[in-house]
This record gives sequence, C-alpha cells and structure tokens, in this order.
Amino acid sequence: MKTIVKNLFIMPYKVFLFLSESKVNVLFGWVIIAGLILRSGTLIGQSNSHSEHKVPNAKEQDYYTIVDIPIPDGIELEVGGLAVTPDGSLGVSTRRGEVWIIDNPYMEGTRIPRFNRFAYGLHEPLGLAYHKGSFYSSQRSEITKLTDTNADGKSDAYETVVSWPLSGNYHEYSYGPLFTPEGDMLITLNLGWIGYGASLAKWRGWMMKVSPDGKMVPIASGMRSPAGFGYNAQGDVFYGENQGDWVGSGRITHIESGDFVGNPEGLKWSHLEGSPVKLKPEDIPDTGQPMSKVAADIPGFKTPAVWLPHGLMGISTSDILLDKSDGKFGPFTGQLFVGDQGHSKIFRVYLEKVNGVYQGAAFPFREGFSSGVLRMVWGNDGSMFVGMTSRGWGSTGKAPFGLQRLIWTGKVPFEIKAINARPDGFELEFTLLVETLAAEDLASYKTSSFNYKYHHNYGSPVIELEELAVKGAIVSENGLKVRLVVDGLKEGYIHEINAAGIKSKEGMDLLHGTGYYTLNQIPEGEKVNFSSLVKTSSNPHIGIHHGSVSSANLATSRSSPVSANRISPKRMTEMPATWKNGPDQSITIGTKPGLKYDLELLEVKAGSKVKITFNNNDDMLHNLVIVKPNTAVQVGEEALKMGLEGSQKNYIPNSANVLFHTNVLSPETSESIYFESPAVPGDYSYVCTFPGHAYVMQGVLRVVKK
Amino acid sequence: MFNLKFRKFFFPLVLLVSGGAFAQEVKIFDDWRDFGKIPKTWKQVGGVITDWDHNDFLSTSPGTGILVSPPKPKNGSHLVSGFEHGDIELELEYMIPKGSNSGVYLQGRYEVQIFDSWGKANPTSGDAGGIYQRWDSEKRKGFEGKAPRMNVSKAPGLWQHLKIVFEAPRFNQEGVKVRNAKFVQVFQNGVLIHENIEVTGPTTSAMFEDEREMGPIMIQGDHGPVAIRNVSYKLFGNPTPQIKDLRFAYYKGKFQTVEEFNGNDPDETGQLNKITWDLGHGVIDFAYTYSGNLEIPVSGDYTFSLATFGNSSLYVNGKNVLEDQNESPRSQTMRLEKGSVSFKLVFYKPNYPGRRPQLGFFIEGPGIKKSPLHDPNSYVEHVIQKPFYVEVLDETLILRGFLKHGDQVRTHTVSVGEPTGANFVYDLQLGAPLGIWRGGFLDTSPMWRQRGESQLMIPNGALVELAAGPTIAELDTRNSVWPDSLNSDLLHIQGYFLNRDRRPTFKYIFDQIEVEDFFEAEMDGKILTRTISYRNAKKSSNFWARILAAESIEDFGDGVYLINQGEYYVKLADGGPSNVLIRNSQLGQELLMPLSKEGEKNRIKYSLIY
Repeated sequence: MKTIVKNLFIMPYKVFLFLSESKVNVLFGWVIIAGLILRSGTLIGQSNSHSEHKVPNAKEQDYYTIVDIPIPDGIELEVGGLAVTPDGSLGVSTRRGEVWIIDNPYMEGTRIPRFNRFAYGLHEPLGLAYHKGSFYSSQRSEITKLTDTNADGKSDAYETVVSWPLSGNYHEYSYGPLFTPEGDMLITLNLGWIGYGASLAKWRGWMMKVSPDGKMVPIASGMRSPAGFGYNAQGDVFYGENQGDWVGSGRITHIESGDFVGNPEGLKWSHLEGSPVKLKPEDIPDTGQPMSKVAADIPGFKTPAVWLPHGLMGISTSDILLDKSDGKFGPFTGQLFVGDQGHSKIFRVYLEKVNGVYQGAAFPFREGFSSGVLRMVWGNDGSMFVGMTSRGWGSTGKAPFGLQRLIWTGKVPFEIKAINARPDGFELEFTLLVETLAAEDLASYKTSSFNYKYHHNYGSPVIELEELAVKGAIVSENGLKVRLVVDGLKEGYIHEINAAGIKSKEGMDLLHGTGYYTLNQIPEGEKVNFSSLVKTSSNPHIGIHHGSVSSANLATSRSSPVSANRISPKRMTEMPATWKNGPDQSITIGTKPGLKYDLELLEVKAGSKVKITFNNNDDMLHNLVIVKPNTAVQVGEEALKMGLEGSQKNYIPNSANVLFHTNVLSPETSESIYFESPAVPGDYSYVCTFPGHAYVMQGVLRVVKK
Repeated sequence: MFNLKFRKFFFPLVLLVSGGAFAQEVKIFDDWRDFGKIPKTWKQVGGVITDWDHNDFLSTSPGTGILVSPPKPKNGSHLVSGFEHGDIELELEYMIPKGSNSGVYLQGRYEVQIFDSWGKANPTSGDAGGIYQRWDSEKRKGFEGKAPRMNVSKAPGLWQHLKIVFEAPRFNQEGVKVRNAKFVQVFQNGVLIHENIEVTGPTTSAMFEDEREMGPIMIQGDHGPVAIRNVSYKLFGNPTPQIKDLRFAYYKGKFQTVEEFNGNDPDETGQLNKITWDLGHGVIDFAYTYSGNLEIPVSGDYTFSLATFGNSSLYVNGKNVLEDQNESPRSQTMRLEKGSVSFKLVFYKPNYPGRRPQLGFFIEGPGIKKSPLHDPNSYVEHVIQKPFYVEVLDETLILRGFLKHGDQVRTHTVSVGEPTGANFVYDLQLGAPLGIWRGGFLDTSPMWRQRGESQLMIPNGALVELAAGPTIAELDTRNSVWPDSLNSDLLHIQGYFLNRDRRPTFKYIFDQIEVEDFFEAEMDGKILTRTISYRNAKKSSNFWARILAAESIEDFGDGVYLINQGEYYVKLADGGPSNVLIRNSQLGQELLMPLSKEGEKNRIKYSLIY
C-alpha cells in the first residue's frame, strides 16, 4: 500500500490504478500513463527495488511486544494510577477505588503475577505514586497517603494530606500526585461539565503544588482535562490536554508557575490570594484565531509545546512518560511517550528548546492496546506498564479495562527519531542509516502547515492548511540525518512532515512515515546555500529542485477545504420542496454516555421519506452516517485515514458506502437530515465516523418492505 | 437490663393532614371508629411507650389516633375494617414491644407479617415484612410464603412503617379464579421488600378459606401486643377517564413565552387519538396546544400531573390549573363532577437542542391509579441503571462517594458497612455522621456504571437520616445558633485509621481541638456506639459537641432519649453526664455537651439504637 500511495504523489498527472493482492500481502500497482514524461527517475527504480528486495512491511509488534498481565476474575482493574515500588512490584489504583499491589508483574518463574488488595474505598483515585514507604493517591476530594503500619500487606492509615472542595459534578476528576525532587506533590484538577467545561469549585482547572504537610499553592491555570503530566529529560513539567472547549486538539504543554495554558474557566479564581496567574477571564478573547496568534499579545499565555493533531495522533491525550531507560527500551532515550485513551495508543514526542521555548514533534509509536490507555509507568527492567480503562468513553481497544506491558524486542525500528527546526526547514534524524537516493529525492517528502481555532467551541476543524514546498533534501555524512529545506515555515503552526518515501539502507520503509512538528519558534542560524551545493555536488541525484515542481506535485494530493455547509445530496438539511406532505417518518436520535446512540435500532420503510434529527447531547463530538449493510467499521476506518482533511470534511470519506450523513456536531447541538430510504430492504447501519468511535458507536437502520 | 424512669412525659402526636384533599380515595384515621368496629380488647389512646427491652408497653396516655392491643391473655380479637377492598394501596405504622407478633391481612386473607425481628441476620417468611406461609392441613405443614428481601426491622418500641400495594384476585363470570392475588409492592421502613409476588390462596390463620373479589383489612390481635397508627389507603378499580374530541394546533417557530404564539393562526391543526408532541415538527422549536373533553366517570377529587421537558401549562374548564413552567414534575388536585370536562394543554420548547422533548400528562382520581393520558412515545422513562450492590461480608467495609442528604449532595462522605448490618455514613467536612441504616449496604451503580454522572452511593436499607451539621463547634454563648458547617480554614481533615478489626477512627483538628471519632457496632449490630475522643488544646470553654439535632428529643431518663417520637433512641454512656444541654433549635431540638476545657484527653460516648 505504501508504494502506491507514494507513487501517487510522485505522478504529476492523472493516473489509473488497478490493484491486486499478492501472496505476501503486499499490494502492487500497475500504472498506465498516457503521454507521461517522468520528471523523476525514481518511479521505476523504486518499483524494481521493491520487488527485488522483498523486505516485508515492518510492523510495530516486530519491535515492541504487548504482553497481557492476567487479571484474576472478579477484579475490575479499571486503572486510574500506576506506581512501581522499589522492590519492582506494581501498584495500581482503580476507578472503583481500590489499590492493588501486583507482585511479579514481569511474569517470571511461575509466570503468574500475584494480586493483593492493599487499599480500597477511595473515590475514583486517578493517580498513584510511591514515596518513602507509602502510596499517595488523588481521590476526587483529596490527596491520600496510604500506609501499611503493621506490615500485613494492607493499608491501615488512610491519611488525608490535603482536602479540597468539590461542587459534586462528575467531571471534577483529580489527578496525581507527581512528586517533585523537593518532595512536594503536583496535582491537576479537571473542570466540571455542565454542557461546557466549567470551574464550579475553587481551583478547578488548575495545577496545584502540595507540600508534605498539606499546604497547597496554585501553580498554573487554563487546564480543561489535564489527565496526565510528567517530567521531560530536563526535569521540566509537561501536562497533556484533551480536545474540548477552547482546546482545538490534544497537546502537551510545558508548565511553569504563573502560566495560563488555554481554557479560561479556571481564571475565575486567579484573583485569589497566592495565585501566580494574573490573567482574568475577560482578558481572553474568543475569536477563533489560532491560539498562537491570540497568545502572542497576552503575557502569561503559554501555548502548547507539541500539538497532537486530533484524530491523527489520538483523540484523548492521557499520560506523559519520559524514556529514561538509557537504551533498555530502544533508541528513544530522553523522549516522551504520550498515551491516548480513545485510540488505545501510545505516541512518541521529541522535544527541543528554541529561543527558550519548548517545541518538537509527535510521532505514532505503538497501537493495539486492549483498552483505553490512561497510565504508563516504567518497570524496573526497562519495560513499560500500560494501565487502561474505557468505562464511560469507549476506546478502540474493546476491553473495559486492562493492564499490559510493552517490551522492546531489541530490534531497532526504522523511524524518524527526531525532528529539529532549522532556519529554513527541518533536520530529520533517523534511527537507521537511510538509503541516499530516496532520501535525496524531494518526492520522498511532503510537508504542510496548519492550525486550529482557539475559541469557546468544542474542538476545532483544521484551519489554514497549506502545502509547503520541499526545496531541498541533504543527507548528512553519517547517513542518519536529512536536512529538509522547506518553503514558507510559519511560526505558531503545526507542520506535518511526511517522509514516507525514504527507505533505510536495508530497504525498509519507515515504520511511521509522518511526524507533526509544532513550530513555536523558527531558530536563527545558517541557511542552506543552494548554489554552492549544486556547484560542489558530484552527485547527480542530489535533491535540490527549483521552480514549482514540488508544489505542482503536491497540489494534486489535496483538495481545498470543504465548506461545512456545502449542500450535498447525502446531507440534505432542508426538507426537499417536493415533499409536499412532509416526511413519512421523523426520527429523533440522541446519545448515551460511553460512545452510544440512545437508539440501537431504527426501522424505516423502503423508499420512504425520512427525516432524522441527531441531537448530540454527549460531551464530545459526533456525527451520524448512514452506510450500506456491514460497512460501518470499514467506513469508520476510511474516515480515520482521511488525515488532516478528515476534520474539514466532517470525517465523511468519499465512499459509495456512505449513503447519508450529518456533519460533525458539537456537544449540545443538533442537525436534521432528509433522505429517501434505500429501495432495497436490509439492515443498514448508522455509525459515528469521528476518529475511533466507529467501532462501538453504531446502530442498525432496518429498511423493511414498503 | 436497665430501668426506665419517666421524668418527663409528653408525647406530641402528629397525624398526617387529613380531610378534604383526597376525600373519597384516601382515608386517614384519627378517629378509629371510621375504620370499623373496634373490638373491646383494642384500646384507643393518644400515646404509647415502651423501650427495646420490655415485653409489654410501659405506658399509654389518653387520646385518639393509636389503637393498642395488649399482650395475652388480655387480648384476643382481630381488628377488622368495616369496609371491603379489592385493589388497594395501604399504609400504616406499627409498634411492638420486644418479642411480639401480629400481622396485616389484606382482604382478611393474605398476610404481611409483623414480628420483632430486630437485628436478625437472615429473615424468613415468618419475620417482619414476610409474606407468611399458607397451611397444608393434611401434611400439617406450612408452604409457600416469602421472606422479605432484607431485614429492615427496627428496635421494639420504635414506630415502623408498612406500605402495601395489593391487587385482588380476578375471577371470570363463572366465578373461577383467573389470576392470583398479588403483592405488587411492599415497603417496610421505606425499603422495597417485595415486588410482584403472587399468593395462590389465603395465609395460615386467615379469616376465610375461600378467595373473593373483596374483603376487609384485618390486623391480628390474638398473638402479641401491637400498636397501630396513621392508617391510610387508596382504593382502585374505576376506569381511566377517556379523552373525547382531542385536537391539536401547531405553531412553527421559537417561542420564549405563551404570548408569542397565543392568538396566532396555527400552522397546522388536526385530530389526535392520544396526546403527543411527536408530530413531525422536530424537537427543538415549536408550540402545541391540545384541547378536548375528559369523560369523568365518578365525581371526586382528581389530580393532574405534568412531567415535561419544555414549557407546559394546563387549563381545565377554562381555568388555569397548572401555570406555564419548565419544571417537572408538578401536579394539581381539584374536584370534578361526573360528566364531560373540557381541558387545554399547552406545550412549547424554546430551543433546547440536544435534548428530546418530554410531554407526560397524567390523571389520578377516585379509584383511579395515576394513569397516562399521553402517547407512550411522548414521554419516555429513563432506562434503568443496572444496580451494583456492595455487601459487607466478614470485615468492615469503608467506601467513599457522594451522598444525597435531604436535597443536598455531600461530597466528602465515607460509608462504613458493618458485618452485623449497623451501617453508617460519615461526613469528613462536618466530622459528623449523616445517617445510619440497616439492611443491605450500598448501591454504587450511580458511581460505577458508565461515567457515574451523579457519583452517588445509595444506602441500600432502612435509612435514619441524621441532621447535617458539625459535631464540634465554638459558640459565643449558650444560645448561639449551631453552625451548619465548619470554617475550612480552621478544619484540618486527617483521614481515617483502621484498628485491628479494621474499623475506622476518623481524625481531624478543628481550630485547636484534636478529635478522634470512633464507631463500633454492638449487640450484634443492633446498636452503634460512637466515641468522640478529643483534646482541647485551646483550653477554651466555648467549644461544644452536638450529639443530636432532631424534631423532638424526649428524655426517658438515665441518659436515654427517644428521638422524633419513635424514630430511634440515643443512649448516653454511663447513665448520661450531668452537663447535658437540651435546647430548642430551628429544626426542633438539639442536645449539646460542653467540651472540657482542660487540655487533657477527654471523651464523649453514646449509642444510637434503631
């Protein structure tokens, strides 16, 4: 598949593709081109090399193995927090309030881990830490220190370190604590949800610091759903944010005392004594401009270090874990791993500091976890424990909860290890030596920039998506780096860097071809001198192109943004004038928590005039797409593959399987569509194609004979 | 054993409001002669008292409202109603001394048992609330019968509540039974202990051996002493009124008030069979009026109820009986004469996208159960949440969650379940218990299903709610009002610590008062004893502990108090200290004790008996 996609954007002309499947499950394409002049000589060469080398497509599991930790029946291990003790045991706090200590989680010897319930009865403890002989956990209303005082393996002391007020809203989750080197504790406090995120009790929407004797001071505000936070290699604190109101997409943000990081609800407490945040709610404009532009004029407004584009890099950012394995976990020491609950994935983030500001790139890392990834922690052998729950929100991993371990196999995947900003582009560093020909071919790359709206609405479409021309690609002498010269870098924008065209020296494709670099600052420094390069180059294939070649190539690959209100026969939001007597049938459908429609079965007569009103009464984005029988997951996966375009096209793939659809609806909004039901009776489906939802959010549209 | 002295004896008897509102349907007896003939062995009194440790009533006081049947051999006759009933909803309160036994027979045939089952771990059909067994005279052996779902019996001497919804057996024209009699629901002390239990024939010791459409209520008088009060009932059997000539008018648009569409030409009108908003005009913005005539089968008091999402108002005979509001549910009762009654219902929904409209319109009347007048699609009841029962096994259970207390949600609450069933809930922000209950422990489904949007833990038993408010407070004078919260700047919650039996001691510091609060079930869970240990480091004499706040506190002497006219007892340790202060409060009365101003460790100890 990768070959074909690549060929597609190499070809500047319209091509016809016929696809077939080979025995080794690799797709080949035969390309018929009329009157084609190849500007690049690589097409044939690559096709040949592809068939000659027969390097099988690498898979994530070849490098990182997921191992299930068996959970005894009767234990609902809905993981809220994880902490490893000095003896290597794993502490797990659960959403039902228990704390388990698991001995032998590495499954050696008998290979059976032993579960011991250390504590219970806590109120949804969504964080766990081990410190000087005690566990510490954030319940909804307090940090609790749990201590076994008589060495019987059970906590006898449920000591309140600090207690804070709650309004009683379910969405007031409390996370942490994260111990500082000084022995203080950091916690984050989720906003409530009343149709929008709201700070209904003191300090909701803040990160707080708590001393061991219970003194609590505010650190930063502007948080909406700060489910995870952790340190980077330099010891600075980053927190992960979930898409929602004022949050166009998931992201991680560097936190320092006094920062405001995006959602203005928490600012209603900034006037209180001790607040290092000076901004007031009225200081934050609601314009829909990119966050970086809004923040530029507002001192104290901190923009994200790295955005995780919604749908492409997960949908619900969770934990942040620094790779301090020193190579025990693979080649990414010093980088961050970022979990995602809805997509059951872990991403990888490379950070650099430019002009004193953190920025960097996010990459896919590992998918396929069994439930929603909420927590990650290192075992004492350099493997990663991954704790999961999906209750209430659903996840692509179907299990309601789970505990797994991620182990490096010792093989180095071919990955973009790092992306560093340069004055005129980016420098990509790879984990393995690259094959020079492909790496120097500009057609191996594709770059674009885009942003999100900063506004009170829930989420954001991708805005200002712009293809950027790659003007040069220079391979470093050691063969591990490529300097990309890119036209039109934009500060404050996310840059998609797709290098899927390159190969390793051994002929492997990149395991993940794309990274998303958040360019907060364009660094100073020396730019690439094209003329000197061309002159001195002895390599006829050196990747420097002039003129509009690249942009012409790229122009074919993406259409311009689609207007959200475009009239389509698949989405008639006005009743057709020909329906003199109105619809034959009007159906109202809403949602239930946990990625569900509130109706599982709709019945309509074949060929009848139907009006469906979809009320999105959930607290996240959804659409309703009517598809042909047995194609719901297929259409959902096609929507996932739409990439950045997805959010602009309401995640409606261009597919004959899609019959009718609504747009993506924000929480508490509604849309009606009109259509004539299919003439052929059968069980059609309706499905939400918002990334990750299609696996669970489905119903049956039964078309019966008229 | 301990002896009661009656230092003070007053027993203000509060009866439910009786009279006009539900005249024909609900009877509440303050004069028992309305119930029927009172046998000589039953005495009508104004008050009756006993404690948890005596086999007889200790005293009565003159008056009306309570019927008392004495112990053997003075007793004998059953109390039988002068009226007969078919389908019925019956409520009453009973009180028995230690070890006693009685029963309520529906139609004189089908018994719900009354028994002293206080503290019994595994109740049978012979325990209080049980549907007593039938008798096989050939085998000389009981059969059928149904134990209550849980034992929620209170201590002897406390008033206990029964509510019984019963359906009589049905017979065809030949007189052959086609449907068994059924206990639709039975509640004891507010807890549902039976639901949809059929009985195939009369219970042991019934008045009749046959089954009929009608029969009297009978209360056993020949087993043991029993007192009855607050009997009320509703009889059912009349048909639901039908709507004739139902018409609707639809107004298109977004309306904030009735005036915006009232008087306009409707965009659509037509006839309807049943009331519904779901007429194809969407769910967001619209207004409907519905008009028609209700065929009232019998004269009497009728209650109209609206349960709507969207604004609604109701007119009957041209009179506005329910005002234009978006509040749900609400109802109004009015007298209607037999015949045709015109009504108009107005429903509009000014733009609440994302929520389905709801229009539920109900009628209840003489002999008529609350019945819908709307189409089922117009008002959809919520899907039930799968319950999640947490039960206590052999070790104390301690669980945190939110608690609904009165109409308030408390967020810093800890439920403690005792293996013996003496469960309680403690509020960390108040340093005080908020309730005690017996039966099951908790239903945690509101926390543990889906997102857990209410985060409530629901006590799964007969709850005695205790007044909210801190246990420790500083008062300027003896007359200062007790505060309803503690200043959070002065309160340092320290958490709880488990002893060897894994029972918790709650600890906190308020101002400079260091408090340790310990609860322990005693007498097999029949009583819950609280020990408040404190050290008054401030050495101020203005600190007090509030032991009790209730509507009424009645002093039985020796440190024993009866609360709320028989809801529960409190017994202070060691016969009660001398420095107890009982004073009037907004709620009724409260019992305070001063904290010692010495800086040493001190304690206050008392038991809740229920």
